[in-house]
Amino acid sequence: MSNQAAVLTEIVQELEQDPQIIRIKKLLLLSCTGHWESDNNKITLLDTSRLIHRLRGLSPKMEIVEKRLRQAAAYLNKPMVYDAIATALINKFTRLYYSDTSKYPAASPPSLSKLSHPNSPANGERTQLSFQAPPSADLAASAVQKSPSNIQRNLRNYDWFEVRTEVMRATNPMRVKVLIFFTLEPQNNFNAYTWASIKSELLDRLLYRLCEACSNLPLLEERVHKTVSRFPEADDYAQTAQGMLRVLDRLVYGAEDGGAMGQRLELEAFGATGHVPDFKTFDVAEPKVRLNPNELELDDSEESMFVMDDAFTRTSI
Amino acid sequence: MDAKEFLQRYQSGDRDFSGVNLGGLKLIRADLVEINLTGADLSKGNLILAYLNRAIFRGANLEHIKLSGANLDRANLSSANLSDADLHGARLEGADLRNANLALATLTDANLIEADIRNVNLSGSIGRGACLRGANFREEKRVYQGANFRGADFSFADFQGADLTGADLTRANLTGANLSECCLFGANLTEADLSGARLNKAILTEGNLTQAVLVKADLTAARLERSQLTRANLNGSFGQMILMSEAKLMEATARKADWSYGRLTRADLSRADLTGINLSQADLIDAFLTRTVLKDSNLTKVLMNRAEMSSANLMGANLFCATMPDGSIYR
Repeated sequence: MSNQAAVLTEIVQELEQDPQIIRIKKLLLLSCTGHWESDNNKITLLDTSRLIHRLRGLSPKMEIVEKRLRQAAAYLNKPMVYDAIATALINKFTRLYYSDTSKYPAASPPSLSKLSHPNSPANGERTQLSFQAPPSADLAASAVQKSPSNIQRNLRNYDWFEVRTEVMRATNPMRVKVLIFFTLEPQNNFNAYTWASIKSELLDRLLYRLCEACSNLPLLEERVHKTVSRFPEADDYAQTAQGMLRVLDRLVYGAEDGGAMGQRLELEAFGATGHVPDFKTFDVAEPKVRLNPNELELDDSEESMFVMDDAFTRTSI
Repeated sequence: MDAKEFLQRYQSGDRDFSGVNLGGLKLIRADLVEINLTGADLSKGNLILAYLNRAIFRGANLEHIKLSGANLDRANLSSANLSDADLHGARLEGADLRNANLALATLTDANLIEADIRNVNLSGSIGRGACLRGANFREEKRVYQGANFRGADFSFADFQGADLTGADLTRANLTGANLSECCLFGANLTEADLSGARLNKAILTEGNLTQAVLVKADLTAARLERSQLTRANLNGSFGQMILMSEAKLMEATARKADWSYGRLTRADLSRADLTGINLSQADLIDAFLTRTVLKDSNLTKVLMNRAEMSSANLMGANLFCATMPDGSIYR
């Protein structure tokens, strides 16, 4: 058995002995899929190790796991209880991500059952790493940690007010937020949870994350076009994509080489390349997770969080 | 009238729906371009992502309406009641919002470029990341009052170049906002949070910034003449060439700020904490420095002719080539 597998087994055993295992699984499921399951019988049948494995697969970095768990906890109507569970899970998951856990102080996490007791002092003070987007002023700080390409190295030098203004002029701000969100998180489907996530993060932050995730323009275009093809109203989103890509090409990716996309479009206009981007015929990347928003059980259970207008959930994004 | 009937009438060419009651209707993504809804009631309606370009909502009741992602470019929303409306990510470019009530509305990431926002009530609204470049907030005596942003949250919003003369921004959250080159003449920014905001070349002359927070704000070449900054927090602010003549900075703090080349003629800095500040080559002629803390500050080549500083704390200050109150040069 590999070291990772051994650690996973160990974590699963610890979690399954915890009296809060139902809530733990609920939070893990929500973090992985955006789906809230209130039926305890169904939850009991879920395999804890698969849930953890799924979350691990969706989150290449510890920071992403942490963010997912915090976001999920913050949007339940018992945020303190679930945040405490998230904290304990994060402590455990450090063992999966860091072979040398001494680098990441998380020693001896207390029992989840103690942490998550509503009257426990631990619940009185909620960890503030929540759903709120990191302030835009922190862009530079987060950029410092990245360094793979020129674009990524230089991101903090761009005027993001300018980029955002131009994107807003060229597109519908809400549509562009939706587009970026699903480009960055392709495993998600549209539901109340993702809608809340989209609304919680500012456009400039999303734009920054998008550029951070795509080291060059062709990669960005490919990822954005794949996302466009997932939308039923592909035309509207294709237009949004086009507007956003032109701005990012001009102000970010093409800032140093005169705008690669602009040059290519100019060639296309004269039939020079023979390639016309067609978002509708682009390879459809089937979402790994398929969830129909109407399948969400909006019951009156204590944890039910979905307060979004169900009429909107019935519409396509 | 239900949504189906309403849309059928619109599709058959009817555009005038003045005064109709459409309260609570769900019209998501509806195409209602150039519709006339003057005085209509659309309160609690759901028009998310609707197309409402050049629509007329003059005096309409749009309380609690959901207009997230709606396209309202060039729409006329003058005198409309949009209190508690959700306009998250909406387009309102060039929209007419004069005299509208947007109290408690959500305008996060909304595009309000070149919108007419004169005499609008935005108190308690949330406009994080909204873009208001070129928007018109201008106060016009006896016609339009200054914009009301009391307690509003416009952190990371972009107001670059906007005219906010006489605006009421009391307790507003403007953290990280872009206010560069804005005119905030006579604006009330009492207890406003401007931490990390861009205020370079902004005009804050005669503004009231009592107890405002300007930590790490960019105040390069900002104009704050005769402004009231009592007990304001300016720690770490960056204000090269700042103009603060006759400003009132009593009990303010500006630890480790950079106000080099600034002009602070006749400024009142009594009891201010300016520990570690950089005032090199600044003009402090006739300034009041009674009990001002200037510990470890950089006062090289500063002009302090006739300044009242007998009780100032200058421990560890660098006074190289400073012109002292008596006109002598410090060596």
